[in-house]
Amino acid sequence: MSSTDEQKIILVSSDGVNIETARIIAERSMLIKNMIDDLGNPGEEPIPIMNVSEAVLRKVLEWCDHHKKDAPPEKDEDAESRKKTTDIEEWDQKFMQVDQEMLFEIILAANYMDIKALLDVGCKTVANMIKGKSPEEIRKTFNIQNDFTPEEEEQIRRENEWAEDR
Amino acid sequence: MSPPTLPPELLTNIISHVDADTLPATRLVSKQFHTISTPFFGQKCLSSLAFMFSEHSLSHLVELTESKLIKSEEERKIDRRWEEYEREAEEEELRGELGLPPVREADEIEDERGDAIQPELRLEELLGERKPSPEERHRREEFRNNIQDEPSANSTTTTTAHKDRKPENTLTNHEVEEANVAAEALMTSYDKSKAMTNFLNSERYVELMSQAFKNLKTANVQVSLGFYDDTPQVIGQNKVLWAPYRKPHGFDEVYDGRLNHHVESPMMPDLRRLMPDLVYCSILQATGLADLLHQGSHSRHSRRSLLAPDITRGYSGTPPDMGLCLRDSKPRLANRRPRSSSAPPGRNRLESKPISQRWLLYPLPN
Repeated sequence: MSSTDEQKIILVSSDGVNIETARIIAERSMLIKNMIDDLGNPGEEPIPIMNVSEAVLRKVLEWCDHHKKDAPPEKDEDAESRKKTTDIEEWDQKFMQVDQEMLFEIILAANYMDIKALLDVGCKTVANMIKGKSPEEIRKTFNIQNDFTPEEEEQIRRENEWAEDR
Repeated sequence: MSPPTLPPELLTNIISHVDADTLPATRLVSKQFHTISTPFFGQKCLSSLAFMFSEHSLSHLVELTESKLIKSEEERKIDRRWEEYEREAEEEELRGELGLPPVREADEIEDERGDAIQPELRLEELLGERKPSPEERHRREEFRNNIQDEPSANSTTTTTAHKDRKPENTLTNHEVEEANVAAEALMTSYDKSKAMTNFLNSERYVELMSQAFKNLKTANVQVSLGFYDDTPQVIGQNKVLWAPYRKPHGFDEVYDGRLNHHVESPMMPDLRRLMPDLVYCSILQATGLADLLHQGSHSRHSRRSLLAPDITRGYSGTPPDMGLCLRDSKPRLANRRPRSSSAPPGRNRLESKPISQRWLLYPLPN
């Protein structure tokens, strides 16, 4: 490990809590990596993470710590492969066993902090929660209001029939 | 917090991971889910559809082509299968090496200009003629005799249940009930096969298909259309079984789910041997009526010479418009890059592999 990786940096959560972490961990976030590159003096100044609370930031950093040695994602090359599967590593599955509120906070944080791999894990986890469920079950799971008229619903059901015999 | 409170791009990311079997359900959750799910529904669920030659199935094809779904931008995807164009490109290279002239200079020039994609239809995987086995011929004859009679008249003479029947007074209630169910199923089967035969005789399938093709053309949708016999015969012990590899739309409506890998076919239409030709001819007619151009290497090369005699021999109705079949058109290559010296032969003709959209028409599977 190089000395750059061992450097410590301080992140400031949206609720004003300072969290010290290794640069290699924090740089899983492209947002932080770019900020460090722009600032040019890592560790000297705390980096504000405006939209992420302490609890969520710690959780995100836990994921980054576990994946700190993963190969950095290729820019667009893996975009297709990411879409192809809902398989999630065992560790990530356990990591994502949190309440819904935290799950969606992690997704938002991953999006804000530009951590594509974590964003994908989060989105796949939600997709897996949807998988195999009926519309009513999905609504119930995520507390969603059905805003269709009966006629609209009937029309969509008819359209869905075209896909039944795939 | 819940998915609806997420920004649309994140909800889109989530829905992009939802499997094809669940997408119909996600479309019904809410308007927001519907809007986001529908493009994925189109890509994953409607990109490869199969229809069969029944009123029910082809009517749904027309409905689908008239719907908003098919007219949405997301659905205007083009089937430009990489391998086929690659093969096409290699053929061109080979022609060049052999000193033969290019197949169609005009199309080539149009392609290089990067013309807008035109509605067209590609035809693939055409079937050859099926020769009936003696057993099949016998069963066909039996079927023909049965279908010419009134169901009520033959129901007492043709069911297996009736053949093995004991004298009336020795039957248990259960046996009577079973026999009635079998007879009723057979009558339904006859009714349906009669309706099917009437449908095939009426040539309404041409009307329905041409309407669907017109709709697709209006919506500027390109489809790759093939026809397949995916229900091959399986000869078992004293039985002819049918193994549908894939059920086209409306299959269960016709067969009530009875025809599966382990069930003897309830019907033996004598049209089976003629179906491939009938289907092919009707596609020619329908696409002719819709003024669609046939494209694809199959019709351009070896297949055309093989097909013409089949059509003539197998179809006794109105002669098909052979011009459609024989038009020697080369598929236009949209978004084609100019040739460059660094690109490998045959690789420099396409920019990207498009999303495949395939629509299949199946002949009657028995």
